[in-house]
Amino acid sequence: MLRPAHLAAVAAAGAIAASALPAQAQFALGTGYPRREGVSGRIVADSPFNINSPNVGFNRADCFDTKQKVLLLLANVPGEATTVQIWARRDKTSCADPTQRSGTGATTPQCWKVASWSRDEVWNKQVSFAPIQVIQAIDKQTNVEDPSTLDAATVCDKTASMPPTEVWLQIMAMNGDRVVGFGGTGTTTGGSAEQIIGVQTLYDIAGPNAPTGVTVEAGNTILIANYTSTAQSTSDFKGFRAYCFPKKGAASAGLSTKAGDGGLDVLEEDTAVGDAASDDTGAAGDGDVDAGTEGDAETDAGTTGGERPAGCPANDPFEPGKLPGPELSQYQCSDESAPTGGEITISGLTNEVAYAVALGTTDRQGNSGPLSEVACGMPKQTDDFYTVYRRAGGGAGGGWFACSMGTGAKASFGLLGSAFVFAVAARLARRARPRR
Amino acid sequence: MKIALAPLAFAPLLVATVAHAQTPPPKDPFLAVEIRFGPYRPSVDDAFSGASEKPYDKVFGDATRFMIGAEVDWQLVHIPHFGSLGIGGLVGYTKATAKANFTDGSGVSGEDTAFSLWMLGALAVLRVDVLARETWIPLVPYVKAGPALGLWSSTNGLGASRVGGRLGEGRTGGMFYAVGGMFLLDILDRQAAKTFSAEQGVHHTYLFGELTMAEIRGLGQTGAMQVGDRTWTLGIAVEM
Repeated sequence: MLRPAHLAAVAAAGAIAASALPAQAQFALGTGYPRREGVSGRIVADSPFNINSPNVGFNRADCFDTKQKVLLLLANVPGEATTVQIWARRDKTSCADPTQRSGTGATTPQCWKVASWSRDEVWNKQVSFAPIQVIQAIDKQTNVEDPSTLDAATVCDKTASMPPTEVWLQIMAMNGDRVVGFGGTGTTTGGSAEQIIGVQTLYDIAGPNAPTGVTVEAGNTILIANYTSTAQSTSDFKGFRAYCFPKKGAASAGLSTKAGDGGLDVLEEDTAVGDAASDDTGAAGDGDVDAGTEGDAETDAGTTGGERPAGCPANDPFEPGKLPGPELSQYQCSDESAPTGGEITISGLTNEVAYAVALGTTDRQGNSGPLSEVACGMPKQTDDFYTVYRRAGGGAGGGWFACSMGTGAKASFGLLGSAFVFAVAARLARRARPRR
Repeated sequence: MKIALAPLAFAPLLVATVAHAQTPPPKDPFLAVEIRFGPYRPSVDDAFSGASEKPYDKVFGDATRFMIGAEVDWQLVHIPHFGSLGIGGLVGYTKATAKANFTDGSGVSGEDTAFSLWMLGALAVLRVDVLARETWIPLVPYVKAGPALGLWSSTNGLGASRVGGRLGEGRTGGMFYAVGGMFLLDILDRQAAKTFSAEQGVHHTYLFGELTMAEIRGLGQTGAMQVGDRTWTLGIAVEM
């Protein structure tokens, strides 16, 4: 998604040594820049967007979006400087020492160049760099010398879960290889931490791992997806998403397979939503179908992501292990939630329609994890307790405050009896009080 | 063997008697607080004795479920050499959960259905504590009676149950009776009991067991769901 990149607001940059924070440094992000949640779950405002906010940084989408820019405005660059450079490293050790920027021989972690401008390009002018420049520098451990040759396919396309990786960006005014102070407080060979504008951020370009062992149980217009997952232990885990095919409200997609008997596939062309045509689908009679094990089912041509268990709808779009792209958003069938019981209830489905269900994960950086394997189920009408009670002839209900008073002698006797008991108790209590 | 061991059963009582003779008469407590626990099976099916399908049994089976509760009694009147008479409030909760069956008979679904019951009672309580206070027998018989109310609700996988637009919640009136006995734990360690009384204001601590008769069958109502039970209850009580 293309988001306009312009200087919307200014967020003060933190300094590595706060006492020497140069007041003339202005550092901001384009408006619409990624919405993130802090550790409290609160949305961090996207404009102004403070790159220093806890748990806020660059995600996978930012990494791919080379049009999105981090904006930088420096109001006072010392005349002695010839360039302004941004270096990144994974801890807050100063990059002023040239050996930290040498690329070889320095202790790990070390500094990697993110961007560089001449003094004239920077002074009182807005400059920008793409998030991938930061991520590529850290991830590939190489200096980004030419922003036009970024390698998004390699750098950004991660699927294995990763924790947020802290990055310290260090903005330095340079004269050759020598760091000069922004504040004009003098220069030293090798520089010192006080002469650097430091900004702490992070990047996380892969969502939590997919749940495993996904099974689906059916109920009345609901499916209950059970799963095993370690995603909750990921430090920035946010929740699970369920994807259903066909999408809510859609008609049956027909069934894909006949359980492992070596026979031909059965494709039924249901068209009416909620009809009873799916009772003889070859699925297990209880309407529940676990995620398939190898060899227990055949696969229809057109179904993505490999085999499906019997009873699954034909041609579902889910690819286990792949990241859910925007094209799958129409199939999202549950709110983002973080249940602790290993169970997600998907409601609002249509009875007698077979659904394929895949689970995904999200983190607070806005990344989605890969899809789980697919499990299938068919919601059907159930008898809850109250239904059975009413069918048996029971007439109670309507709410705790519904009127159902009778007028029989039994009622009167009971109420009078109760009143009598309390009247006696109250009278005895009065007698027991000391008289004045 | 049983005869030889029998006198040992009275040993705690003998110890209690000796200790009791050295104890000054305690102050009259004004409040009793109970934590209660016992099996509970709402008598929903009693209204369907002649029917082929008993709804509670069909859905929840015959597994034992429990009610937990609490009671607070205000001991208004202390009758010398007899006991106390008070009024109190009772609250209890029980819940039964099971997987709902598919309507078409194709088996058990993955959807939970539950029946929850809150029992509320306003009770008159008579405790005969003369034995524990004036003899060596550390027992306090008691009876309780009063009106009670059952607030029940049925839920399924989507929330509150509804059938034909009618909400699966209701109330049932009735009476609550109980008769039981409390065992005075103070005799096991009178010094600790004294300390507990002086520092925390807890005069006595008891274990109790009672026969509970929750006759919650729709007193003053027509067509109410019967949610009472005759069962036993155990608990711990303190008097302050």
